[in-house]
Amino acid sequence: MTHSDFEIASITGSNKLGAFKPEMSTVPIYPSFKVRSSTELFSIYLPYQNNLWVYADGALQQLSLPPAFEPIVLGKKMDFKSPRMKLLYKDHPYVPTYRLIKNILLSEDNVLILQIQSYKKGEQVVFWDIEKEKITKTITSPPGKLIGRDSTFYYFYHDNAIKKYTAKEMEKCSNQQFTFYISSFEEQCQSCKTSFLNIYDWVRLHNIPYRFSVEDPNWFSSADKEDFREVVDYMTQWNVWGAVRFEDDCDDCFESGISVRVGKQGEIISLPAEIEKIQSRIPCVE
Amino acid sequence: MIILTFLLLFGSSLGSPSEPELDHIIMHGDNFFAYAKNRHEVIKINKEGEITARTGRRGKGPGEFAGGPVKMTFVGDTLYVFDGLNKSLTSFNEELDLIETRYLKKQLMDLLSFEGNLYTVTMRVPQKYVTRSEI
Repeated sequence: MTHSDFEIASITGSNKLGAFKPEMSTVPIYPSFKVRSSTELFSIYLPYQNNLWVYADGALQQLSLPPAFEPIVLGKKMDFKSPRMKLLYKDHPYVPTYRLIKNILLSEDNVLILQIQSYKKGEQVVFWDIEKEKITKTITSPPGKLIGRDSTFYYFYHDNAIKKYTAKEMEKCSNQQFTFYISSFEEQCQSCKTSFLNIYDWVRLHNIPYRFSVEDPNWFSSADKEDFREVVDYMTQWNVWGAVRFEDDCDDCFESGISVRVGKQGEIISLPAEIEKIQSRIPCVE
Repeated sequence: MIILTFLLLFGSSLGSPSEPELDHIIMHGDNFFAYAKNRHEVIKINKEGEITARTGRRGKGPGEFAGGPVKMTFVGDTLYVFDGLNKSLTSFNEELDLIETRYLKKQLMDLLSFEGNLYTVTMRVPQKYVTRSEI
């Protein structure tokens, strides 16, 4: 059942558009793919992996996200009590932690607008030209789920509200670089964590590209997938998201529990800190 | 950035403090349509974030929803809503007036609007598992 075929047909079944076969499904019985369509184009994707199908020019084509994104989401292994469950989930026995492809909008001119949640690249809105098979633009995503756009605004659903942004608003801080240095996600300093979450929300609200930098636990080797899995687990517990990288050559960065830095060479600011102190270093925010 | 707060109308008008959990939000023209899964309603929201129409309740009858996986799509100006528990396909006009509810024998994975027609995504079941009533 985990590798079923799916068919796209009219309600009577008389007119068939095509069939597709996911390489895997995280929920074998009820597959979790999503379908998005416009007048002349439709796409099918699985939120937990990096491939999708696009129906264009009379054929269903399979595409994959570029290698800059992870091929599949990280997750936790399930602890099977029942042999039947073990059998059912034997191919993919894990619970996914996040959605790699969060949503897709279809644009004119064969462009897919994908909202991506990636531990390699952070949360981004990606414009993908299907004909040229390349990404033409990426924008740091505001909080929430991209639900639509018109000629003026992009619409996001977040905190039980619809929020709209112009492209200019979303891109105005795109040349900034902002880093959260976290020495431990088990931070005992509550005021540090509160300050971090305030700044995290503020940075996202202003579409400032940001990432999490975590001290490399291995020192003499590169971080492996398990290290990323652990960090992603902590991020999920804290309900935060962003690109993750490990760093082992910056002693100052990890002196306090949580610190931030604007730009590559900016001053390292230990938390707790006032947002005004951060804002004064980011000219794109009025 | 403009923030449009909405949906508090739900709690007050229905006497419940719980806020609607929106699922499957789609944009159509100048409006959004969504399924409020904890209220079993389809709602229409304008771009200013105001609810302008809503319909549905829990049940198995025409225009009602059982709360299973719900899929929605527009074909032209008709909204189709498939309720996975009822296996019902309900159509509404843009003001969310009920057009009809059809009960299907097969489970749909999703609905798809393409070139002005309604399509369905279904799982291909091997012939040996297909019962006579489904053929």
